[in-house]
Amino acid sequence: MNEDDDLREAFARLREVDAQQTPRIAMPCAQPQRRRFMMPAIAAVLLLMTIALVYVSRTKPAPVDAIRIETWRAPTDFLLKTPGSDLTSSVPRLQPQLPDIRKGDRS
Amino acid sequence: MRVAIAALLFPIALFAQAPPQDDPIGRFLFPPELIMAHAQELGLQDKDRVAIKDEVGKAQSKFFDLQWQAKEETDKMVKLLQQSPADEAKILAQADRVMALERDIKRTHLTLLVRLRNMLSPEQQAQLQRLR
Repeated sequence: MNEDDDLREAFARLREVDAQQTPRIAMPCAQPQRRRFMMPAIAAVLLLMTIALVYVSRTKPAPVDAIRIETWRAPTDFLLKTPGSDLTSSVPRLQPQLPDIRKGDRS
Repeated sequence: MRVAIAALLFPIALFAQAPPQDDPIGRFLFPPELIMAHAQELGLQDKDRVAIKDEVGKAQSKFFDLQWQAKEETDKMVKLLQQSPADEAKILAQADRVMALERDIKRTHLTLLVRLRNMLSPEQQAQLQRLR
């Protein structure tokens, strides 16, 4: 009986020592649950940030120095596209699809 | 994950919806195609149609000549640019010729557009702005 008690005590101490040394592990099933709430939160933060960014960029006029030469267009450039210029750069298609007489197509 | 992707795509959609940079000159003028496409709604008379066609015809003959010359001068410039080393003085002189022709094309086009605009009443111009 005494031996049993000693053994029980020894195992209990061992368990205590083990418990102190073992790091806490989160339940594996808790992880997706947490992620499920995290994704919309991240998305909401991203959304708010982009809305703020767009709002600021639209309300604040870009400084003159910030206008980049690649995006600048000469205000009179549209005048180089003259009326009817597409007519002189292509050949008209007079009859795109001829009826196939061999098959008796009279349409 | 889908929500995050949607959030990332949202700014692209926002920028896509942004109004295009305003054309400071073109928005006050009306291309002949637009006028003729809405000739009935504008209530154009036969004499107006004839006058418009006449102006467009005169401008088009000039355009054809100028664009032909511009193409030839541009080809010459391309040949100069293909040389190594490139002759800066010759290239700039050639560029001046090309740009002078571009200026003539723009001037002819602007003359046409201003004349067409002056043929329209303020009411017709307002109507075209709405139809644009």
